Amino acid sequence: MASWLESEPDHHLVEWMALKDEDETAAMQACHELYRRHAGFLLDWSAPQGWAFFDLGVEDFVSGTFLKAYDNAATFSGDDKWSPKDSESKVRFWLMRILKNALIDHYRSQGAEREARSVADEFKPDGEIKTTQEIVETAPQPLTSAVDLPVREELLHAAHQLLQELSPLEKKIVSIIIEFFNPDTREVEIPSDVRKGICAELKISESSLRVYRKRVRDRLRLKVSDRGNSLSPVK
Amino acid sequence: MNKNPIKKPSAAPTDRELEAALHDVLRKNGMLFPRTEEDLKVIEQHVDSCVGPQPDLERFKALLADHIAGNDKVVPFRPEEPDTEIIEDFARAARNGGEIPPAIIEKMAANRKRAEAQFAAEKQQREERR
Repeated sequence: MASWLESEPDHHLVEWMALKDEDETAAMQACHELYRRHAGFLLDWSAPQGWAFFDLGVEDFVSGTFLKAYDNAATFSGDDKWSPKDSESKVRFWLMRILKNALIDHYRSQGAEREARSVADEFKPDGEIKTTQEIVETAPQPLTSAVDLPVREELLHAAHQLLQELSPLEKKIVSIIIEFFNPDTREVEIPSDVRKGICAELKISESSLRVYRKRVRDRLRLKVSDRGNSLSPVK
Repeated sequence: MNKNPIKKPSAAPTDRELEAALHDVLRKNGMLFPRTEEDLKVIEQHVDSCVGPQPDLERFKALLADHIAGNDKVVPFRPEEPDTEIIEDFARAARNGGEIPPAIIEKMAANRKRAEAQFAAEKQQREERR
């Protein structure tokens, strides 16, 4: 490891990576150092998440994240006023967005593949293959305050309890679906091709996905009523 | 004045409320991708170090070098472009109501064989890497 990089804040490493056309060796060394600092965190967080990765391991996704970061480093703009801790947070946040988009893109690709197979197998006359475009959102998003949704306390208790009781497959389905919950509209919004890919990964049909989702909601609703909670007004 | 008013039954939670509750619990347990700085802090508090596979820096160095050389060994995140000519042939055959010409069937067979061989080779490579 190049020792001169060890004391550099994270956003400087990304800036070195962005200079790959001028100094490829330094850019590569900066990327190695970035991997050394953050790959463990991403692996530790990703491994227990229970996403479906098909044949790919979580290591492949994390490595792929750093390769995408290398390619798109020029889109990250750092600020020398940042403290080392701020720099670490903002770069880590950026890496996690790249990881998320790699995951979504992977689902999209699986959805497109399933669609292609379906056309080939069923000879659909108007079957259309949708190719996917990489959707790496490279620019760091503004870090705003947390989105605290007004959710009834009793529901939170019931949801917490239910999550402990779900089967591994149900838990996996819930965590994937809820990733697409939009706090602004308070709706789960899964693009059609991503949904197809999720089903391909989980090896279930789209109707089964709907049934699983409904059953989880029904169980949660039942849990709330079983507890005899009189629901307090929305905060 | 009625001292024991009939308690108004509380409304059953809607689907949106239920999924908002699940979202909230997962987010507060650091199980969703972060949307905010606070989310990231929560995740950092919840991550158990060393539960995931150990990062392999040497392997990553090799991957990056291959990537820069345009010789990626990482499995692509999406499949290659489908063979649109074949798909169009399928669609045309189906629209014409019927029989698939032998030439197309041959194409289908060759295409499937190629895809299966490629899949098997990639799978073996991945297993060897592990």
